[in-house]
Amino acid sequence: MPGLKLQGLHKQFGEVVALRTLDLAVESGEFVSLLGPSGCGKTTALRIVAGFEHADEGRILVGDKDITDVPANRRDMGMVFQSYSLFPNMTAQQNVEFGLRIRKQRSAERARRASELLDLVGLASATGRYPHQLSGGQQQRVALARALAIEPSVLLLDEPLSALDAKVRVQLREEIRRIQTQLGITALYVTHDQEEALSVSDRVVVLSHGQIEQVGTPAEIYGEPQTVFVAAFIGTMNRIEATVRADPSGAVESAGHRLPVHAARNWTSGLHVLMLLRPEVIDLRPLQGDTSAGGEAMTGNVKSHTFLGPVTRVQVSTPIGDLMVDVPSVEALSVSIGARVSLTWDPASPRLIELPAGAENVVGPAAIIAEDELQPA
Amino acid sequence: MADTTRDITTLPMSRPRGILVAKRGSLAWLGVVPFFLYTTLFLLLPALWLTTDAFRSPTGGYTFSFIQKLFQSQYENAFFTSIRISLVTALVGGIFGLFVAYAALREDVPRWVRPLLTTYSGVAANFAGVPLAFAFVATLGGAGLVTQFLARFGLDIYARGFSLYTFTGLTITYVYFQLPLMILIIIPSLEGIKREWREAATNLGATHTQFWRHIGLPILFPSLLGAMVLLFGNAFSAYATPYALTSGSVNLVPILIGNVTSGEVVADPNLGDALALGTIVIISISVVIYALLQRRSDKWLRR
Repeated sequence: MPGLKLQGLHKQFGEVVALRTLDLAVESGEFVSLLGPSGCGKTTALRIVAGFEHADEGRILVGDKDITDVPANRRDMGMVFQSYSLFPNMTAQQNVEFGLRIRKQRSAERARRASELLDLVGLASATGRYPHQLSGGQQQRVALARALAIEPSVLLLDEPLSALDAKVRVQLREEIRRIQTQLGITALYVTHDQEEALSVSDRVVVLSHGQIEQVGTPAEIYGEPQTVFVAAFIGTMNRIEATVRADPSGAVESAGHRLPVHAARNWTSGLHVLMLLRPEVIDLRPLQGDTSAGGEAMTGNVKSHTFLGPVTRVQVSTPIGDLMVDVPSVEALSVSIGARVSLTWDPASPRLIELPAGAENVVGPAAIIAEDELQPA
Repeated sequence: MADTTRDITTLPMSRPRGILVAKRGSLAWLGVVPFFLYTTLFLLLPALWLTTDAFRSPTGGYTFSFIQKLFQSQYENAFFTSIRISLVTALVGGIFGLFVAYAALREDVPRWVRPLLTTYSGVAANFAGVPLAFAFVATLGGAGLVTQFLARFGLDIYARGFSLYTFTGLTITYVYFQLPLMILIIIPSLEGIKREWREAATNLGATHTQFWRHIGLPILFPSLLGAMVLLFGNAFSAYATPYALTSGSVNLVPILIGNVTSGEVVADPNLGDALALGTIVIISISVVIYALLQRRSDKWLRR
């Protein structure tokens, strides 16, 4: 299986820049996701690779072959669309056979290959059904089988799960990953759903305004966001604007409070930074009466609870702003709204990102960006 | 595979309860009364009436003489000409209308083209009868604007055998309203051809032609057929246009019916009924052919 290279892809629609010199190399057999909010250029990139759009500048290579000027119908790329892409006048089997029919394969051979693929996607019993007789999830399985039937060099998936129910979505994404691994096919997957991208990919490419913000494994993207955008876009993140303190054990200062951060030891003091802290790394303890926690802890009052199943997300109002804390749901029962609590964290946990000069008002004293605020509607 | 979507939607709790779901004692049927009243009064009863009159002798009793008359050359010829002009103008208007609509919906066509085209089509499809006839006389008649303009460049179309007052002239005039009617009817169906189908076909290696042969046209087929039947009936029933244009020199069924019922030449209302019955039969046959062809293609549409 060949790999895929995008070199300096640039695309503009009138005044709007959709892609800004994008460079990306997908290794052979690798599963790479393009992740970002709507309008970030991820779909444009995929459509350029498929040949439906043409880049103003840049090249596309499959293996060593430059396919930039190859028309879409000769690129041999399998594509799975968002939804409703099955030909309604053909049965599941005929849909899967279509690419082979165009390639003038013998009908016996076509039928054998189609049933093999429908079997692979778990739809062996639905061969004779028309698309309208299939559920959304089943239709996408057929679409996957159809894309794989032509033995494509690269598999392209354009938000293939976004029109499906939550439960089917999770099930199908795991299956797409299983089949991709089994066939060892190079895959490029476009999604706005971070959970989806993080759960199935070898590597995730976070895009914003047509530019790559960060490329990395799901663990790197989640654990070590390199830019303010990635930090805000991936998961829920407490973002605290602070200044690096001259402190041998590592600390920053926010609203007059000292906050322990090991990472600060490597930073120049006085530097304006954003401290990033995941809700799950903060430790919450109820305090008796109106006492101060003392030491390194931050004190605050519980403002609200959001039950998320195994954990409950607690919003705590503190002197450095509101902080989100994930507490195991069984323990959350003991912290009622208004209760006084102390918050501590392992100083090794927070990450720092340098804030550009003059960015004071971009983020408040302690801005919290919940994930749904950043998800496109 | 476990089908979550189906499972949820088939739960009795989530079944939709629309107001149209008939319940005992519901008054919902009242809503369709005007429709049935209208079709009974203006379609069924007149058809029944003219059918019986076609077999009724003016002197009392029943007779087949009017029906037999339909097979006399004058009347047979009128049916033949009417069918011919309806078929030709339905095909010409239908095919060109399809192409114009397709061209207007292409993605690289400026956005203002479409509303302009549909508005024009809406007007042109209804511009028929005497005004249309005069408009054509003024342009393509012997002293018409276009005729004179062409003559100035040495092309005398009348000297070359063209005449507006013949079958050919009538065909051109009919196409004037058939083509825009086709555009109006077919645009919604063309819009139903999803971009994803085209792109999926391209992605799987199909050329533009292969897409239309295997996917586009099969999907459009039922609507194309329906549109053609409508165009056929539309042309068959045109009366004022050919009357004003040819004053009877082209032998058409509606004009004959007009002649025998208005009584200016020979009043013979029963013959008119027989001719009208013949028309009903022709239209019914075209609808049956449509239904038979459609049934072969809509297997994938059936729910």
